[in-house]
Order: sequence, then C-alpha cells, then structure tokens
Amino acid sequence: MVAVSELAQAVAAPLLSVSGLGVTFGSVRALDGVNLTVRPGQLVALAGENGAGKTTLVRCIAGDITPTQGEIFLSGRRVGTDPAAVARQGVAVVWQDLALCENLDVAANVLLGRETRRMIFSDSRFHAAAASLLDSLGIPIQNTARRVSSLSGGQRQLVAVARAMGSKPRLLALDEPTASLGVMEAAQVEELIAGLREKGTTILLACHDIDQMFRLADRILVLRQGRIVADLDPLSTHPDDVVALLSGQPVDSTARRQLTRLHGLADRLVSADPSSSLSLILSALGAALGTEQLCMHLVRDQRLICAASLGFAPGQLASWAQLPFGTTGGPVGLAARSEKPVIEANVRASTAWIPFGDLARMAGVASSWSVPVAGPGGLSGVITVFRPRTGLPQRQELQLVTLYAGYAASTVERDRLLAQATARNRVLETIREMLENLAGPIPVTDGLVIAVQALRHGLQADEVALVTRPEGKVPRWRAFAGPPGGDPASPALRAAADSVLAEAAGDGATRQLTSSQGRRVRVVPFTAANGPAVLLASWKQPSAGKAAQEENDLMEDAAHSLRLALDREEAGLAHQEAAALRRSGELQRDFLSRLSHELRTPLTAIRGYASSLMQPDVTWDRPSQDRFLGRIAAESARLGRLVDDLLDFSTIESGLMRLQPDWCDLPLVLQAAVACLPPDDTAAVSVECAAGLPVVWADHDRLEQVFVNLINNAVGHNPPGTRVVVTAETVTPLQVAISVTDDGTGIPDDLATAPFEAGPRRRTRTGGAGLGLSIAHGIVRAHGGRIELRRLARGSRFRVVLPVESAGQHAEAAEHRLTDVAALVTGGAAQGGNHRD
Amino acid sequence: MTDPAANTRVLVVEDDPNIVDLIRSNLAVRGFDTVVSQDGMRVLKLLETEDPDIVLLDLMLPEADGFELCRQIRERSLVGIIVVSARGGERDKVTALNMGADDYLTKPFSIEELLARITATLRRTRPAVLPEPQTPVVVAGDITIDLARQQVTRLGQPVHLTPTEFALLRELATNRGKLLTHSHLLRRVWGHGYETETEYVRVYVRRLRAKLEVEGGEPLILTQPRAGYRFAPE
Repeated sequence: MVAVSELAQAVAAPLLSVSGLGVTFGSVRALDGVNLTVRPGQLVALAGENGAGKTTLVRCIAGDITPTQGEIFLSGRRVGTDPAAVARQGVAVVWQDLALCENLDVAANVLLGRETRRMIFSDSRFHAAAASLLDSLGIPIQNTARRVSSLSGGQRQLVAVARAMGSKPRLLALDEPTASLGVMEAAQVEELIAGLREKGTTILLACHDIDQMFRLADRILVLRQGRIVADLDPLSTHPDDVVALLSGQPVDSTARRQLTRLHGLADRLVSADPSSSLSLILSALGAALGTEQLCMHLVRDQRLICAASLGFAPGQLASWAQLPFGTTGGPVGLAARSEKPVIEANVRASTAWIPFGDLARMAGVASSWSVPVAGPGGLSGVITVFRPRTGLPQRQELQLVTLYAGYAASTVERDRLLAQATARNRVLETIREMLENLAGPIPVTDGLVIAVQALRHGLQADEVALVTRPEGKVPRWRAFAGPPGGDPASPALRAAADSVLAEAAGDGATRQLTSSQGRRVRVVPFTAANGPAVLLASWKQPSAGKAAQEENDLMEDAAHSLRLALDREEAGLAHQEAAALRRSGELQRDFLSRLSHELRTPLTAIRGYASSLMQPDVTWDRPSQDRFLGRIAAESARLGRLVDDLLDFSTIESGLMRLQPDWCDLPLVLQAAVACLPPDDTAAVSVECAAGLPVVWADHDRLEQVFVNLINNAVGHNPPGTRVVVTAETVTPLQVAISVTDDGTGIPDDLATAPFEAGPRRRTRTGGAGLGLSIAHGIVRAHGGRIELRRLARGSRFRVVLPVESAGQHAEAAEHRLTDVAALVTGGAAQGGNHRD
Repeated sequence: MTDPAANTRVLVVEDDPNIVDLIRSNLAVRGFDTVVSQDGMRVLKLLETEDPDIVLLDLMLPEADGFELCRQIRERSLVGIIVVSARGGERDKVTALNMGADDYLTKPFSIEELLARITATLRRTRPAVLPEPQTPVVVAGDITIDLARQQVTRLGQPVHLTPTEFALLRELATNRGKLLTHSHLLRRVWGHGYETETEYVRVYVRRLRAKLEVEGGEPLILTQPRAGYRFAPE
C-alpha cells in the first residue's frame, strides 16, 4: 500500500495479465469476469475453497481450457489456445495429479520431451543431466534411476516441479502442490518453492493452506464462486480475514487488523534499512491514527518534494509532487513557510486548497492537517494527514503527528548522515558496522552493546560507554565496552558520566575532559527522545596527537546514530503502548457487551413474568402465580446485586473507595460471610481459624464482601459436591492470611492469567457480572493488603494477606490497645468523617 | 381468523431456565406445543425429529455461535426463525437477518410483543389459503414466478425461496412496475407494527437479488432511493 514516489514506481510491466476471463460449463459459471496481473518475480497465491475456480483458472492459463470470455496475455502477447503452444511461450504447470509417467525412472520423467541426441545415446549423460538439474534446484533425490512409482508423494511432487523447471519457464503455475502431502513432505516442497521464488521465478500458486500462502506469497488473490473477491498484501492482512473472505462470511476485524499491522510495522521499523524508513514511519502513523491517507514532503532546493505517500492511487498526488513554499504551495507550502501546523477543518472552505480542488474531489478529502517536520538544521519537510470527514483533529492526534514528525526528521537526518560519511574511510567503516548492527533484526538494547564495542575498536579506546538519564530517573548505563577481562568501568569514566549528565542538555558536540587519574576522557552529551544521554570514551594514553579531529568526528557521528537508535527504541515502546491501548479498548467493549447481556437477562425475566401476569386473556392458576412472583422477586434481587457490584466496581476504578475501619474480629467476619451464602451452599463450606488471631483494623462490611465474593466464586465455579475450606492464620506479628481453598475443577486458563481484572469471561453459574474478584481485589488493596491466586493439583486457592493495622495508623493503633473504650474514642476522633455513624 | 396456536410446535433455544419457563408457560397456556433445547448441540437434531413450525433462537448460547446456528437452521429448513437476543445493535439485527432469520426480538421483551411476533411470523411462513391471484404466473426475463403454486424457476431450474422471501417477491411481482414504499412492503409482508424496520426489507431484497438476478443482467428489482422498490416493468 505504500507508494514511494522517489523510487519512481519503476515497476516492470506485468508478465501475466488476465482480463475479463469467464468460463461456463453448461449452466455453471466456473469463472466470471476474472482480472489479474502477475509481475515478474512475484509469487501470487490463489486462495479459494473447492470449486471456487482455482484449478479452472490455472487450466485456462495453461491453454487446457478455452475460456468462454476474456483474454490472457503473457508479456503483452496473447497466449496460445493449446497447451503445447502455451508451453512454448514459457508457461509450465505442475498439476495436482502430476501427470508423471509411472513406469519410467526419475531421469526420464525430469527430462521427458527434452532429451537431446547426445543423451539418448548415453545413459550416463542422460542421468548426469537429470541429476544436475535436480541438484541445481536443491532436490535431494540421489538415485535418478529409481522408478517414479516407487517414490513417496512428496518426492513425486519434487520431480514434477523439477520437470517443469527444466524448460526454464517464465511463469510456473502450481496447482495445489502440497494438498495431498504429509507435514514433512509438504515442508520440503514448500522449501523448493521458496527457493525458486528467491531465484526470481514468477509463480502462480493455487493453494488451500492459508498459512503457507502467508509464508510464501507476495500477494494473495481470493477466489469465490468464480470471482476474485480480494487482492491482499500478506503483510497487512490477517489470515482470519482470508478465511472469512473464502467463505463469504462478514467479519469485523478492523481493530484486530490495525493491531496486527501495528505489530508488523513496529517489527519492520526496528529492522528497517534507512531508505525505506520514511514510508514505514508514514504507514505506522497511518495505523496509529486509523487514517488511510497521508503524504510527506521533504525540502530540497527550496522546494517541497513529495517523498512518500500512503493510500493514494498512482498519479492521484501528481499535482502535489512538487510544491513551492508559501501560499501557492497550498497547505503544505503554508506549513513549510510558517513552520507551524496548518489545520484545514473543511477543505472546501479553505483558500489554501482552492488550486487543488481536483485532488480533494478525486481522493475524497474533506479535511487536512499539515505538520512541519523540524530537523536539526531547520525545516526538513511537512507531513500531511488527509481525512474523509470535516472537522478538527483531537489534541492527542496532533501530538501523535508531531511525535512521528520527530521520527521522520531523525530518519531524514540519518540518511543525510550516511551520505556524508562516505568521505571518511575508517570512520565510515565503523559507523557502517554500527548502523548495520542497529538496523539489523536484533533488539535495540543488544544493538547498542555491539555498536559500542565497534566504536571502541574504531576509536582504539580503552573504554566506551553509553549512559542515559531518562526524564526524572537515575542514570542508566545502557552499554559499556572495556578491555578484555571484564573489568568494570574506570572511576574516571564514571565520574565523567555523572558530571556530564548533571549538566544542562547536551548539544551533540564533543568535549575532552582531563582527568586526575591519568586518563583522557572524551564525552559527547546529547539529548535523546527520553532524556539526556552521553557517549563517553577513555584512553590511557595521554594525548590523541594527530587523530584528535578524527576521534571528534567519529564520536559525534556515533552519538548521532546512537540517538537515532534510542529514539527508535522509544518509538517501539510508543507502538507497543498504542497497541496495548487498542487492546484494552477492545476488552472494554467486550466487557460492556457482556454486562449489557447480564443486565438484560434478569430484566427479561422480570418484564416477561410481570407482563404474563397482566395478560387479560389468561387466568393463571395459583401455583403459576406464586412461581412467577417468586421469580420476579429473585431476579429483582439479582439485578440489585449486579447494580451494587457495578457501583462498587466503579467506586474502586475511580479511586473513590472510602473505608470505614474499626477493630474487626476475623472469625466473626468469616462467619458473617458464610451466613450470606444460599442455605444449600453453606454445608459445603467450613471455616478454621487459628488460635490467637489478632483483631485487624479494617472495614467489617467490606471485608465480609471480599469473602462472600471469594466463597461464592469457589462454590459457583465448581461442580456440586465441591468442598470449600476457609482458614485464617497469623503469618507475621503484623500480618494475617485468610485462604479460601476449593477442591473443584480449578480456574480456567483464560481467567487465571489476570484473575482480578474485570473483563469478558465465562458465564458464571451465579449469574454475576464477573466483577466479584475485581471488587475483592480492590477492597483488599484499599486495606493495604494483597490477594493471590494459586492453582492446586485439584482446585484452587485464593489467599488474602492483610496488615493487622494499615500503615500510618501504627502510632494511633498502639494507643487503641490500651483500653477498648479509649480505642473507640480516639479511633473515632482520628478517623473523623470517615467513621461509621 | 383461525387460532395461530392450533397444531403449532415451537422450538425454544435458550439457556436461561427462567426465560425458558417464561416462554413455555405462556405458549403452553395458549395451546402451543413447546420443545426446548438449552444448548446449541441438539437444535439441528430436534429440527429434524420434532419438525417445529417456528424456532425462537437465543443468540448467546454456551459453546455455540448463535449466528452460525441460525445459518445452519436456514440451510436445512424453511421454518420461521425469530432471533431473541440481548444484543440490541443494528449490526446484530442485520447479521441475523442475513443468516436467514425472519424476525429479531430484543431482550427485554413483553409477552404481548413475543406473541405478536410469533403470530406475524407464522402468518407469513404458514400462510392461509390465499385468494386466487389475478395473474397466476409472472414472467420476467429468465425468471418465472408461479404465484398459485408458490414456485419460482430460473431457466426452468427451481429456485428455493423461504416463505418470507416468497411473500416479498409476490408482493413486488403482483404490483409490477409500481413503486412500493418500504413501509408498504413491511406492512404487507411482515405485518402491522413492522413499518419502521426498514433494514428488514433491505436485507430481504438483497437476498432475493442474490438468488434471482444475474450479475450484469437486467435487474429484477429496482431500487428507488429513499422511497422503496419496484419490480421490473414488462
């Protein structure tokens, strides 16, 4: 989807192009208006259910069927109408049923129809030619004299592909090459296909295996009922979407797709090479904003050149390819001149947009925001976000654009730097090694260490270190390279790091520090995305001599690259945060929908029974009336509990929970909790309190609620007959622990990962809103305690650990112990308005 | 009007025992025969063995996807399906109709509402003897609609329509070329009280087009934006 106009879209003409293809068998339309193109070197997968038309399409291309309508071109030439003619044009097909000659050997099958005279008269030459072909394709079949009928399914498939490749085809069509193979054999065939693709073979792959398509294909075309219903880029598509398209089921996966895309982009950003990072940053921004259309202009020779765009058809942005500064450059020119964001809430009412009305109409743009990209040497470009609706952006959205504009500036800067570095040989080598390490697929943290080691080598220094001080935190040694032997950093280096980081923000310039410890130390303080940082190097030799300037240059360049790496790390974190945010939004939606279901269920019963009783045409007998009224009462109570839970939950969530503490006797609290259970359940619960349990400073009612929830949870989630044991004991003089243990079926995996979070979960037998554990957790936390879940071999155990007195009440509590009366009085005074009335 | 309950069997698919009891009591007292399935697994089997006249299907069942179940029921049978759901969103409603439901009832509902919907759906899916149509057979392009026998064919091949689909097609075809408003179609096909359920018509017209029209061919049902539909004139 990313169009990089700088690359001039130097896309080759299609190798295969199919237009308006239709095939009818009797009254069945096997193919219907199929259009597709395959470019040289591409691997295009055809996905479809049985009967969707995959094989028919391949047969048409192979000249095996004459289409009812439409045309097929190979490199602009119409393909022949019989298989032999098509084969001569360079199309080789491997059919699902292979069409190998069973009674011939491997060599004969591989070379069938291509035997030269020389070969025919020499068996050894014949076999050597076949073996060499197999070998060049990396096919592990040694004995070319084996009969094909004795080969396994996978080996036969390999032979069939080898035979097809023997003619050096321009297009290789594979019809379900792994459909009938076992896992290992399929992997072997897949490896062969991947290898052919690496070598630049153009491949059309009809295939069932969706994961395989995602591993192999550059594009995936989805066929359904003879029509192409989607043309997908595997990098920005989720396999589930293909499944949905295959079956024609509608799916709503926009949120998930965006998440996947964000993940994918974050990964690619980390491993990106510099030239592609601009468009990556742009598409990451697009994903983060949920916007489809973006473009970025760079300043070059006093003009604004469109360097990357997202979501525009080729040519749509032609009028924006080059824009002057100022009014004639539209919103981009204005943003560049003023170096301030230019927000156009409605492009129709905007004067800046007047010259570009065609663009706005064609691309469906209703509003736009152009944000300048400020580099170290002044303005380096403008990012423009297009929206299909009118209105102003939200503040966070604009901040997001500014944030990404920063990344873009770093990237532009990095590219410029790379160009400059060509001048200096030794410096270049080190820098490149470092950049490669930082741009490679390894995490930034590891990259930093490798880069610092490379730098130590390049500088011929004894020690090199990178130290950062994240905003408001203590300095962090991110990477250190010292002499072999693993000595820690020298005191001189440490002192230098501390003193430099204590100073004002870094400017990226080198300075030399003289040290009393006889070491020479150079430092480059700079400012990275998350705070000040410093690159340090130390030498035992007192003077750098002639190399001084070189050392300076190298360290400054290195510091610059390290800054970019740190920024990229920060960007990665921002991506993760954005992804987590979206995920939590999804969970919240699920939770709300479940909650609405839980509220509607008792309401349905209440309303239904009430309206039944009011029906004029029916007279209910006495037992029915009683049953209905009983159900109405029970469901109203359930609804009441749900609403109470919700209120509690929102109190805890908003941090407004207020306790009304007092000295509580734990056995009494636990007894009260058990008494709240339905009478049938009480028998299953036993309470065992250790002797000498201290009284705890807590809110009796809230604590009771905690244990009602925990015991209810244990009873409600387990099959009948489950025993629940509640034990209370002193763990330390200042802590008590209460465990609720059941011998039931245990907590399901999905719940065990985050048991105390509110969220979508299994429906409970108790019919609660699934908030019980969250509420218990919130109350225990408000008491300064904690709650833990342990899964046992049989059943599970919730353990609540409570402080005997919570912090801050210690002195006061000591007094309470003097006499009960005094405790009540002073406790009341000290707790003031919080005291229970 | 005959009693809609006479000889009518209702399959209730619902997991909440209260709502099962509520529906069953009210249907039994009015003479309906009720069969209950508390989970999704048995539904398809019961559909076969019990041959219900109408299915009340809860969308949120344990271990089953209500939409998928709806689709599978529709695949096997022309029985009237009323989806009963706690989800009130427009999307869910349209999805349920797309999966072949005849009607969509949102929880909480009153008993009057439930009974009215059952009666309306039964009237449509099990129509009483209709007056002899004036034009017993309508031919439009490849499509032949035999109104008396309630059969539709395309190029001689029978096309299977659900009773609701057929009722909508009959209304359109017997008023050939005339613009029929959304509310007219809703009132005539679904019944009184449905006049505002515009998406019902939209979904069902789409279903008819998918079954009857050929891509690129002459359209059979013409859309009059924001007004309604008309059947292709002669």
